[in-house]
Order: sequence, then C-alpha cells, then structure tokens
Amino acid sequence: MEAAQQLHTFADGFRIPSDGAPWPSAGADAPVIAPPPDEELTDRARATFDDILEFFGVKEVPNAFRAMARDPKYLTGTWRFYRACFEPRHLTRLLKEAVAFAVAVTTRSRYGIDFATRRLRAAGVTDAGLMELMQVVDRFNGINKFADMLLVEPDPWNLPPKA
Amino acid sequence: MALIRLKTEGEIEGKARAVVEAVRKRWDEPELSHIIRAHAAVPDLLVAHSAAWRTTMDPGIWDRATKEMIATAVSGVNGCEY
Repeated sequence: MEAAQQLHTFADGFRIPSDGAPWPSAGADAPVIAPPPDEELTDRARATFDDILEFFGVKEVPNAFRAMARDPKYLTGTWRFYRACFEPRHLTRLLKEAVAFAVAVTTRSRYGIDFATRRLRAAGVTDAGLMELMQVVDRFNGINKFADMLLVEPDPWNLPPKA
Repeated sequence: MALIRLKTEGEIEGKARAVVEAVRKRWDEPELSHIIRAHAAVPDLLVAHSAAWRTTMDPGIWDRATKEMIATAVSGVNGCEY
C-alpha cells in the first residue's frame, strides 16, 4: 500500500501522463518535469529500467519511473522498495496489485488508477473481474463514510487486546 | 458514542428480523455488530444493506479473503476506525 501510494504521489504531484498517453510540453496539463533523454541516463538508471521492464513484462518503462530517472538515486530507491513490496511472498502478486488498485481508486490517483488497471489487465483480469473489485472498493468507501459520519464505534470484539 | 441510538437485537423486528437471524447464523460473533444495529434504524435500509453486502462479499471471480483484504486497504486509506 505504501509503495503504491508513493508512486501515485510522485506521478500525480508532477502531473505525469498515463503510460502510452502523449507527453504535453506546455499548458495546464504539462508535467512538471520531463524524463531525461536516453543519452543522459546513468548506468544506475539503465540497470533499474531493465529490472522494471523485466518485473512488469512490458516493453516501455512506465512514465512515472522514466520521469523519476531525473534523480537516479531516487529512482533506484523507490524501485527497490516498490519491487520488495510487490514480490509475491505470503500474498500473491495479483492480490497486491488488486490492493494497489483499491488504494488508487480510494485516493483518486489519476495515474495510479491507470497504472494499477494495466497491471491487473496484464495478469488476465477481465472487465467482470474489475467490476467485482470496484464493487468492494465502492462498497467499503461507502461503509467507511457511513460509520465515520454517524460516529459508529468499532465492535468491542474486533478491538486489539489492551497492552 | 454514535450519533444515533443503535437498536438492540431485540428491538429489530419485521422484515429486518430475518436479516438479524441470517447474520447471527452466518457470523460467529458474540453480539450483533454496530454497523448492523446502525442500519436497523431504517429496516428497509438494513435489508438493502444486507443484500448488497452478500452480493459484494460473496466469492465470485475474487475469493473472500482477497475481498476482505481490499476492504481493509480501503478502510486503512480512509482512516476509518470502524
């Protein structure tokens, strides 16, 4: 969740366009920074890009990581953390991508929703799968608002034990 | 304390009573949850809430555990204590 939110924050904060979308150079939608030209990429950034391509199984580095290469240390650090979070361990990669989608929708991250949807699609999730997932996200956003606005207290048996 | 009085289990009657019975059978909880008791302020709302809950959380393409994980993530992002 943290790794996904970090990526979304960077991308939305700098108005990075969705992957595959045109990169406007001027106007209100123009990204704050542009990715460095290929010839200016450091060896560290190139190695990170290779890892990103392999991890996602894509031919183009996602725009957020391309822009992040303006600061290779930032790119590498962010990517290492992202990869560590999304590697399957106790939880599957697909479940983690589904959580990233839920986080992106809930925080209304324009880049994040597109990014997470691409990952789910690549994993074979269909329209029906996306709809079912959205139903849970939508429902719980509603339940959260309902409970918060009416100050409904947690059920005592769900509270963590007192220290 | 909630802004509305949460109905007790014994106060929930009529068509909402069937929801209470189903919830009790389905969930192994010591008492009726606060969220059910809050929705019971309007019996029709509780009936609709329960139906929507089943539709949303019953396993389909995604299993129940994944759906619970999504619910937890959404609630965490929203900082919803409930």
